Amino acid sequence: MKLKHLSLFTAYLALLSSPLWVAAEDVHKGNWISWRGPLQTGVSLETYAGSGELDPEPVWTDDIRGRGTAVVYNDRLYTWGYRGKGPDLEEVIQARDEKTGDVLWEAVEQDIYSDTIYDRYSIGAPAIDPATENVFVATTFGIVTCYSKDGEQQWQHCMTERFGRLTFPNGRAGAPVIDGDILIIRGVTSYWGADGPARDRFFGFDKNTGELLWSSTPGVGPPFLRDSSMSTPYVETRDGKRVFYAGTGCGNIVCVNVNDGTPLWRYQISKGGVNSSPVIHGDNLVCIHGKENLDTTEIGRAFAIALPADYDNTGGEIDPALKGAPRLPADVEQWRNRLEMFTSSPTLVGDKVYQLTKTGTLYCLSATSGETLWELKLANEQLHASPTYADGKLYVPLFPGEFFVIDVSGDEGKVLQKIHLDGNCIGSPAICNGRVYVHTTEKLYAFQIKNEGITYGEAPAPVYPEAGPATKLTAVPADVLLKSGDSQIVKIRQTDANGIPVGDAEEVSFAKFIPPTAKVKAEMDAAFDGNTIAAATDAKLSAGAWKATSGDLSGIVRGRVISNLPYNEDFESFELTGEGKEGPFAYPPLPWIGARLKWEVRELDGNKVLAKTLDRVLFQRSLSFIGDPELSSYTLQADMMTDGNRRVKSVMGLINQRYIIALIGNANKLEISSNHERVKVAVPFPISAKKWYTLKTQVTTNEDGSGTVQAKAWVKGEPEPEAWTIEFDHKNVHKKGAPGLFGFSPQSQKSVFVDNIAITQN
Amino acid sequence: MKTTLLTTSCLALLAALLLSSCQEQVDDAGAAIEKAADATAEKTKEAVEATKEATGNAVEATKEKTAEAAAATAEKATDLKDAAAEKTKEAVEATKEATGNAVEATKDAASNVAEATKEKTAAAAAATAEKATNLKDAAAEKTKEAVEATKEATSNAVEATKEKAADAAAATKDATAKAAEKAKDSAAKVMADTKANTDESSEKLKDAASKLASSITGTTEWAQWGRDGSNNMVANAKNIPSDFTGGEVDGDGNVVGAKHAKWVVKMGSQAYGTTTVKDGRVFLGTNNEEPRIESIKGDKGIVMCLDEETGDLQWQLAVPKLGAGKVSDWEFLGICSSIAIEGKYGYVVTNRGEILCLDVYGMSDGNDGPFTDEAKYANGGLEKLAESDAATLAANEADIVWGYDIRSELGAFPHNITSSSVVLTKDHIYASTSNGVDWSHINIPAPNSPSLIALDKKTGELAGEELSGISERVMHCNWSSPAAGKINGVDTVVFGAGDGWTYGYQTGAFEEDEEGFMIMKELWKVDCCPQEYRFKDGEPIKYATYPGPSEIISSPVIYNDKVYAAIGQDPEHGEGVGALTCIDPSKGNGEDAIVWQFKGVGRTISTPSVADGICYLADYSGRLYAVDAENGELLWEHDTFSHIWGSTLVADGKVFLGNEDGELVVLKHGREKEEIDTISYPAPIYGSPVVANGVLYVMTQTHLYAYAAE
Repeated sequence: MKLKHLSLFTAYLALLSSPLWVAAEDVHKGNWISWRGPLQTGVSLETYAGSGELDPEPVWTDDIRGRGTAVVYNDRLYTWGYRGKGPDLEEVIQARDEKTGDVLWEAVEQDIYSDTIYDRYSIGAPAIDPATENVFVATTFGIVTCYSKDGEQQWQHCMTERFGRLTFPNGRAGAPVIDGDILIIRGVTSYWGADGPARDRFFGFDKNTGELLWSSTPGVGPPFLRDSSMSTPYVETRDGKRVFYAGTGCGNIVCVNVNDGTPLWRYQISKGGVNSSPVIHGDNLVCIHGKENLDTTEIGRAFAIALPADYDNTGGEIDPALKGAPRLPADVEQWRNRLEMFTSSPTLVGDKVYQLTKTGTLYCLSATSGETLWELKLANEQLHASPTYADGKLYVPLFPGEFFVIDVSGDEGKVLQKIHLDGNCIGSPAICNGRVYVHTTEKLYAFQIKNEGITYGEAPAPVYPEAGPATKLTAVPADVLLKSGDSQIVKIRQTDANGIPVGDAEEVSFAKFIPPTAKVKAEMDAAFDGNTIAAATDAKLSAGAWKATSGDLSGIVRGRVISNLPYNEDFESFELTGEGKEGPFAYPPLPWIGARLKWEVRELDGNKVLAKTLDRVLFQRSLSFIGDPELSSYTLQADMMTDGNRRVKSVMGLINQRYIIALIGNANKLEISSNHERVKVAVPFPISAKKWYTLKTQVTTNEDGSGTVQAKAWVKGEPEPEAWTIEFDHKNVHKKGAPGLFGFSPQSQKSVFVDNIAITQN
Repeated sequence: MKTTLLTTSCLALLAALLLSSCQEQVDDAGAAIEKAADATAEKTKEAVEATKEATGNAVEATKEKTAEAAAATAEKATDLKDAAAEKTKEAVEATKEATGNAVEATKDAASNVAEATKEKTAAAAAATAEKATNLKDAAAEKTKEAVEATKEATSNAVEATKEKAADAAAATKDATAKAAEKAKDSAAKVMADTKANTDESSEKLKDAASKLASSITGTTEWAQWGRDGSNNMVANAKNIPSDFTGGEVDGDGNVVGAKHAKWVVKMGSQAYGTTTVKDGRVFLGTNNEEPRIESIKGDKGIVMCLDEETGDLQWQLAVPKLGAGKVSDWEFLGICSSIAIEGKYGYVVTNRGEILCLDVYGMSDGNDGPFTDEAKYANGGLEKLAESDAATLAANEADIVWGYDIRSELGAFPHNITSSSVVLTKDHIYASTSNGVDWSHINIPAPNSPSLIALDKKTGELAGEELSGISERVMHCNWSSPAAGKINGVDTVVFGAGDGWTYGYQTGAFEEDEEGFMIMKELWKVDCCPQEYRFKDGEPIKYATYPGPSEIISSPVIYNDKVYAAIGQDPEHGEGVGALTCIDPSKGNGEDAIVWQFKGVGRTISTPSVADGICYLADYSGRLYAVDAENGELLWEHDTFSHIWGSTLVADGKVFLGNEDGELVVLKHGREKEEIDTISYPAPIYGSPVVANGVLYVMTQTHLYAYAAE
């Protein structure tokens, strides 16, 4: 990154509508704005006069649990941790005075119905936008939030209810990345249409408004998709494009265009997920994985691959069966080293790579050849945390709770200090203004690097590609969610071939568009008037795409129409045109999230009902969202039945405002839960197989932020009981959430049936 | 001496008959008869001649003498009944010991034994047939069947009787044939061979005289996960080389330069099905990351049957994955079960929640039924058999004799994967169902499905299940392999359960409940998780935290009428507090039965080894503890600084243990700590070392090493 790029940089700034902010090279000085530091490699650019020794007595500590990395900007330290127990456990973002650690403001989020176990929260880091000083957090349960520097929520998405994001017991969240005006986050999602099959996906949002700019599917599905990934994208400009690199849950390293999400290439390195974040060394990408390899039986590999010289002709080929981005050939591999690590990332210092492995050994590798230069056994295991480098030393937290300072200035690594910390070290250290911040599962520590002066090395200014002529249109938002009766404005921009915006589009016309490759010929029941899309009050539940055209340029916008309230569904209007294992069937409504292939409409005893499918044990459980994530204070009711016998029954339930209220067949209970470690209360309720029950649910919120979840169940046909069968008071009640259905057929043995869904506003 | 020899040889003969019985005894006897006949025709000439005379007399007198013999044998049988099970083992143990010592000493007893053997063959053959039903232990049961064949043969012409008597004896898997042969050479050899022995044993022992000093001797088989039903991995092998090495991996992924390795076999990328060895075959469980059969691609659970001599693959079983992902059939874990072998059958628990009975001969002797749908199994497992397409099977694919599907039959919900080895008892096999929690790690989807079941060995039908409520209380999963053996004379199956308790059930005893389910008879139960791990100030301590409660994943060990059980958790939960409990069921139930509890050990999934009054146990953190087996006092400990999943092997005066760093540590077996060696391997060792037939087997994640003295 040289001075000659300054003109490009200025040009880019001019093209952006955002105000000119401080020159980029100042952004990192005295700051640590993202989890991997100014160079995205785990390296601090500070050097210290004087001893440079770490004072083993922390300057301050705070009893807040955490599993991630703090970030620092403009004298503020932002930490991400969690506290409390049971239903009151919450994740908390705290803005602190950098010097004293005193909390200036905090914002809390609670887990909803995620699969997170064992308090695996805050595994990742917040991200700071230097331009606005906004702070971004993406939790493991899929809540993405933008906070102002004073802690006010600017916008928030529930990625599960909005885009079909799945959750996993591992709790690995990772860190959002900000580049220019774009916020990049990721997750394994199952949405609709072409995005229906579960894949590890990336999303680009407008960082200020939260509008979706693009979603990207560079990876592949089963049998390679086996994991989720928290690999944090590494961003750079190469061959005239602004791109990012990341590991994926399908065992790839992918390269994606930052501006429009176009998948450029992928490299299949493993048969399991890649959770480590890659680094770039010259023209090579260096990373590591800890799962099965494709070409040997040993597990794990540190590796370097050569980046393609031409990003328009990468030499990759799209796999006809698996699809995904063009796959680079195996011979791009430059070196390999038999190391095993699933989640801790390489730290790159000059021509050396520092890498922790699964069994707690720190390796120093040559970044050029991959050979091991030295190794140090530090503990009997390591999980997640990566070393951070400053001024000739590595700061290395190990999972069992030992924090090492290692002198790496010579030919061998030398342990200088070993400090015992309370709890497990899972997050990487942040180094800023002579302080080292380490967060363990018990405490947040601020250590001082003893010094008589700090010199701040200069981070190279990012170089942004110059925009070319407009070649296409992009929509903001790129995906629209409309309730029947509602409308929304869709802005259309002109962008160049690399997705860089070059101005607004004029005189845009919209037409319904069905991609030629679409398996389902679906159309959205809505209409455009100018740039406003509207769905009539009686619009059908539908999903589809539109082609926006302006002159020679065109682009796509996709969207769904979901029900407004009141909503009733008895499935009688569905035509059973499909032929399935259990006879004729119809798919559930396309705009329902997480429903297709897990449920189908069938005839049962002369009545059409929604039935849980059993042919794939992978789909034995379904959380299906059938409405607007912004809804609150509604009553959701349905009739439900489980197949089975006295010993083997299934689970059927409803999701109301992020609580799952379910009849648990084998336990004969009515249960309210929201992540089972957070909320799990039940009352006995006898459940017979092959018998219909009616389940009615509602959630009320009080002014003080507390609330009550209520449900009643009774044998269908009998009079509705007066009293609620179960009630649960939650101190910090979930304030909103999309209505949904819950079906769980353990080991896909016995089916579950739903009928007569009714949702009304309270 | 003579009486003892007679008794011992009778016992030995019975033992030989017992130990080599098979389900289809007559068929096997026939096959074995032919086989043995060819091999031993010449060698048993003398014995046959003598037997001819004796048998001729016996045949003549049979009708008259039957009652007498029956009465005599009845008495003897009663004695034998009590003593047989115990004494067989002891005799075997003692016999093994005696082998080395008795060569010189018993030379002159040889002819006595030979004669006694000859005389007793016919008498026992006729008498045992009647008395077999009175014997309650396995020895008598199996003898009956063997004797029926002999009886049948005896009723034919004298010639046939002569041949059949000698052949039937020979047909009890070589033992009697060898006894007759060895009787000529040495009584010591007869004693050694009355233990059910492999075909090779006779040749080996012939040559072994000269090689005796330089080869690994002792334990001749390792037929179940824990060596035998006791799960006590202690072997009386001797002369294990002290300088064997792990070698290096070459560019093709093969191991080279492993000193003393007879052969090294490449497995998949992970291997948790610890080696078992019997009758010239070595079995293991791994995955399909190194496909042996071209047409079989993708992730599978693989059982490999190797030739003991060469390591060549004889056949393999490929089990399709459930497709449930990490929830119930985690990718690449392969088969997490050892193959338990008895006669011509191997029993394995598959990754998709099935218990299969396999023919150790594979398809080489045809497709044994009742199950013959191996081609469809290859694509859909048992659950999806009806709707699966038939695959084209290679000749060296497995022969499934019968199969039982835990998930569809019982509604059980295996957590992550089904992981347990079966234990063999007289008529049944017992195995854990791996019933556990779902993704939430709190929800138990199938609380009414059993955690431990018993299947009929012959038919694979469900014989019984536990109703101790384990599934309702399971903390995570049920991954322990049961033990079976006599405790204070009572045949007991011992199960380390997912609720942290150890249970003792009466072997083969089931009672029908009001819903028509056959329920195992629970004899006793002991909570092996200290109360202070379960509660603090009256509040339950959170599971999967360091100070919290744990279940039992390691296998309980039966030793000297006591049970040794250790608590632990899934390695993914990390380190934590643990406990090793010594149980004496004769002292009562629950807490009363606890003799001692050692809490110095951390969480562990390793099985203890108990030998000479010392109990060894490794923990997950990486430490090996030696504890006094009588009072639980710590003798010494050793830190290997690396996680340990596998168990100790005590043999040849040493303790062997593998760890995650790929190190096999060797320490002296004794009350004082003495490190002997640390051998490096290029991959982690999560399994346990095993020794059988003069070979030490070390299994890493990727390779199986077979070490011999030369």
